[in-house]
Amino acid sequence: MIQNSIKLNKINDTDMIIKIFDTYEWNYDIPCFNLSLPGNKQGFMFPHYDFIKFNKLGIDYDTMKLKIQNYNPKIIENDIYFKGRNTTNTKSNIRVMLSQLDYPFSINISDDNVQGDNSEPIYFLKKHKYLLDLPGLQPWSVRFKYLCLCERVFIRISFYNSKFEEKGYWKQMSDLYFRENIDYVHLKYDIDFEKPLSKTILNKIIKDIENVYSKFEKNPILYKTMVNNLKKSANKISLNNIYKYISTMINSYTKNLLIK
Amino acid sequence: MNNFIKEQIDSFNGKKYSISKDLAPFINNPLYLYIQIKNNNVIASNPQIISVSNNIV
Repeated sequence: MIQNSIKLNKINDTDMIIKIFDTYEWNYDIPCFNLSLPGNKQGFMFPHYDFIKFNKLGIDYDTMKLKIQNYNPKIIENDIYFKGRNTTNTKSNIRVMLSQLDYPFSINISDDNVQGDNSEPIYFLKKHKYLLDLPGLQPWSVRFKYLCLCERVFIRISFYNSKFEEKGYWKQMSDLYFRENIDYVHLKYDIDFEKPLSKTILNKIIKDIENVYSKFEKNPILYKTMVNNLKKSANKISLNNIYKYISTMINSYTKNLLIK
Repeated sequence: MNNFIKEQIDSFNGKKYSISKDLAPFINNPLYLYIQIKNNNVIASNPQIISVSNNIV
């Protein structure tokens, strides 16, 4: 990704540290690049590496975008869909908890997931009218940027913990392009996501999702407006723009934070 | 984009960091990917997860 960025835009000589796991750097006072970062926390956001190689399929984001945009299912199920691995069982367990709900929820937990090479193509998400973005092992998910391409109303569930001085949800670089509650619905909860959800919180999340579903079902124009907003924003994100971001970010970091 | 990057710069409250003192100790830390860019060449130190580091580099 960095070499592709250099081909398009000069990057000045520098040294940098990237935390390649799904947690952010909190232990040391260093200018670290992270894949995701809670609101107000110190650090930089580096684009997730699956932008240039989508797991085992090996295709890049622009190719995936075309595949998703060109797919038009004959039937669209009127449900709230999610398919993913059981990655939250040692933490909030939200995935398993929601998988026990009846229609309109359609939450499928599998060892395989929408990103695997033996699983359903990610563009099959377009077979569903509503999509969910649920937290993974950490309270964010790489699927966000793919849901943003699916031309459906999707509900993003985000957790953060103010007891860890996190003042907002865990952002990722793709957040630069998509506007919460304009392009998609964002439900955020200040909880201890390291523990299983309490019944009170779980019920609130379910109720909030049901309210969103009901609101859009009653107002088709609202649904159409949000999907159109999402399509416009999705047109702005491309690999070349990601590379431009990388070069601009690294040059700004070098200029403003490093001692010459 | 500029505001998005500015927020990240501002999160450091104007503090400056030295490559030799602050960053270099992380070259051999397996939890981090250390990247050096020099004359348009990108070198990754400690690329503990080859596929990830290849994608990033």
